[in-house]
Amino acid sequence: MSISEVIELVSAFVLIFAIMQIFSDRLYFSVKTYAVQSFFLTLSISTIAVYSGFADLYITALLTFIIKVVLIPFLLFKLIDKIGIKREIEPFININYSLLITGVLVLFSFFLTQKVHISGEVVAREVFPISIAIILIGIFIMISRKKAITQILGFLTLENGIMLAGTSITKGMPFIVEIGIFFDVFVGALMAGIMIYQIRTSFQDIDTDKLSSLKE
Amino acid sequence: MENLTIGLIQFFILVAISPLIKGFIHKVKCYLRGQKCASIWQGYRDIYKLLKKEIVLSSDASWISKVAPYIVLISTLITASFLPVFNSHTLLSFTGDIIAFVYVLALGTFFLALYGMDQGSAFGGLGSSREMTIAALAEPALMMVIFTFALQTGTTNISEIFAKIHQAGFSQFPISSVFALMALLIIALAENGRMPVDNPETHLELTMVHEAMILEASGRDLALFEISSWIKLTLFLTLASNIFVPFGLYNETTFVSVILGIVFFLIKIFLFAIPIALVEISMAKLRFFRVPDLMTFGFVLALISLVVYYL
Repeated sequence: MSISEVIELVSAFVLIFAIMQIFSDRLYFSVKTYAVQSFFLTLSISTIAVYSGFADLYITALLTFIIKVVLIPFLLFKLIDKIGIKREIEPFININYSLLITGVLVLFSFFLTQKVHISGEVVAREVFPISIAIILIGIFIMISRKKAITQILGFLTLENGIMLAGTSITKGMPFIVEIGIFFDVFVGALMAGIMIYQIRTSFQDIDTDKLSSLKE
Repeated sequence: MENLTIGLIQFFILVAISPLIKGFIHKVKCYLRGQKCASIWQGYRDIYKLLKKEIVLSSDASWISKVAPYIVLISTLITASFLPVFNSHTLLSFTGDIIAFVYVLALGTFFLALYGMDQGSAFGGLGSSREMTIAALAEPALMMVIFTFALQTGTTNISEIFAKIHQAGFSQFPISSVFALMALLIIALAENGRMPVDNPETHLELTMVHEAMILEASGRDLALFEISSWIKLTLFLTLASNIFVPFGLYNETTFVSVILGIVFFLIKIFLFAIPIALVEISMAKLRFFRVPDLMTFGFVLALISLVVYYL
């Protein structure tokens, strides 16, 4: 079993947990799924770090672990406790159809990336369609769910997909860019949390549908 | 003659360890919950105790109730004799391929459902209808997983599929295999009535599925149903462990390789039983109307694994 197969195996798990995000209808379960998904992303980045020997990638993996597996889920758990809403009751598209659409999205991204020719040395070719699929699933979560927390989770899933694509195809972006992205995501999640709390206090709900009633 | 002996040994090992697997899963769950627990050999004692007791049948029961336990057991035993456990020479592999494997198991499920309705109790009918719903939803996903491996190896004969996978070493299609494995885990949980779909530990709950069908069974009938369900779980674990950890299935029939094969098989199957225990203690039972979502999840994973292999 070569190292690129190990990377493909681990990133397949990232995709599985992205699909599980669609399956869940409890907010706690969604956040836990996100944490596990980020954990597998960390594993994938560390494997690439071992393969390529770049010291930057070890730090990236460590930061991924600290921010995405520990800090962001911790923040979101606290947020769920604070606003007291535990369930995603009715998404725009029901879960059954969402799952089928997700399957189509994954197959579409595999079909699409078949035609793409990546020049230069690629660590693991099959990771590219997987990360495209994760990005598409993240966007799909953002548009198909009503609750603001699941929409944040969709955004974070999308970000994981970009991270996976970046590390597996190019052996990581320049270090300063990655630091920037990490703090962007972290501060983004923090601010979105505060905003959700504000939505909760003014509407007694975190249904973003209700924002459309903000008219003069 | 040698092949026949090996086929018989595999068959008997599979049947003999199935109560042990059930006891082992129970033991792991108890350990993780910090409970005191029945011995790991409890399954054998239960079977022994039940076999001594007399059968009480409801006065509404027809001949179906008399034959159903035997048909369920026999269909499970036939599938057990299709499946290569630690050697590719099986007892009946020349008669049926992996599609027959699925549908002979389904015959057992069908008669179990008939038994549930035949007794004239309300619970049995409920259980049967739920079981048939779940079985109908799990079947396409299971077929997808099986077609994935049939395509990878170019045959539907179980022995050949296993032999080819073992020849190739650890899977050469990692993404496809991971998706198939997760799909198979979900299907195995649903088909065997394990935790997120059905609770195997209770006998009196409105939402039970498998236990509701055999609620009226007693004595020898109950023993046959119990041992069939344990063998079915062992069958799924053997299938998964031999496909996804392809070490230790030997083509040779020397004494040493057979012993090594048995040891490897036992290690693998107990390792594969642990995730089931972990899922059971960490998840609550799903609402029945959420089960189709879970099955769709399994189906989508299986579909992806099939198509990814093609692309």
